[in-house]
Amino acid sequence: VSAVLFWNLDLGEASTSAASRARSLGDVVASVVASDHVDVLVFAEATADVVAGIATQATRGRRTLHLHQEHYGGKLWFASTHPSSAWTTIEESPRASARELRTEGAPPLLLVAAHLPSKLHSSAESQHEDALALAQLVRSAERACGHRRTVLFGDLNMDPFEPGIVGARSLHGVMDRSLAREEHRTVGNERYDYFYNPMWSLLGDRSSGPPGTYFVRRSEAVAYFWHSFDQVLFRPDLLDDLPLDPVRIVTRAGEHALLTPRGRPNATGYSDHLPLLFCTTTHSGDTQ
Amino acid sequence: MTTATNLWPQDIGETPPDRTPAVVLREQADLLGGLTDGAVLADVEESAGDGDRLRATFLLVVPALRYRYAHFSVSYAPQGYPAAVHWTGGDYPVGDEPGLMLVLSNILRSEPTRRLVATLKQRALDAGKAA
Repeated sequence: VSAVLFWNLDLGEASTSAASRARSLGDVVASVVASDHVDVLVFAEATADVVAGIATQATRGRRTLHLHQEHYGGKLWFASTHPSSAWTTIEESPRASARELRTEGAPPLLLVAAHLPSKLHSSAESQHEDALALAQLVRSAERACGHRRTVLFGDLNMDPFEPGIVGARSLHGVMDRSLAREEHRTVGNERYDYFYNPMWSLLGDRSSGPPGTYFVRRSEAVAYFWHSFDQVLFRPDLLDDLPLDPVRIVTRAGEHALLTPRGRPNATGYSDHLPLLFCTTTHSGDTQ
Repeated sequence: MTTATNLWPQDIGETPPDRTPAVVLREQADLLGGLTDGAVLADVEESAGDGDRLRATFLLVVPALRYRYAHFSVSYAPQGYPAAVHWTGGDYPVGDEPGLMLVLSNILRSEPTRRLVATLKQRALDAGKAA
């Protein structure tokens, strides 16, 4: 895999500007696919028509994209430069899809995409339940595949520091690569495998990109403003081949600026979420 | 010397224990294969939940595709109840087995479930023809 692009396109049912934004979103994706050698694309809050349109636009940029089997939960859309025969859908839920990619000359990769419920409709307790369910799906898919070359990514609607992401029984994502290399730890006599979560390195305004992937201004006393709801986490088995900065928050694609002049996601022109671009090996395309 | 009054019921130890939500789910899971000619099966996976709670996940399984779909789950107290059913539409708290049966019935008879099982069955049959 050269590079993977994940983007919540914000084209849900409630979106009133979907039609006018669809073309721009397609232009952005086509530009990133061409410039960053993206060969796997996964979208959330999209529609089949828009994803088909994006694939057509990207194909004009000389990288042929195949649309892949629908997600039965209807929340995620997969496209890639690899034929469908390279993909096996292992396990899904209404909010996640685990698919194994086997390409010639490369070890197999388990890609688990997820779009967990929004904080607008889910309590913190329910979000934790969803994270537990996702962790179980990951473990189950890994057992079925017989390896843990796993990348978990998507709009998790939680920040990297929330219990659903950090907790041992849930996703167990840690900020420290060397800690993740220890592979697992035991809590209450149970073994729990780590994920390495590089999103920690992208928090705040001293990071190389924007402070997060999503911005919201709330009137309540505790407000973070920026959130990194969109995340990518890697199993330790992938760390040897992983570059130092495996993930980038995309803010510009060709002539398209995804941030407003004030530095916030341009929700009216594109999406209220910024896309994530990440790679899985040092042999892959440059994500910088 | 007085004889102690026996406060114990005669049938102590004979009352059947409460069935956990996992047992109830498994009972329904066992029925699906017979309804789909074995093309789509169901399974129940038990795991640790939040805190001391337990979780049972109801999976649709397509052996021909080696595919599993985690359709919904139930988190519950170690003694069985209270429990909460987590389905795509939201969370549904239940206080006892009849309550769980009612929610289960609504899920299993729902249009999304019927459509999903039909789609998976067709895919399993297609895979069988292609093989």
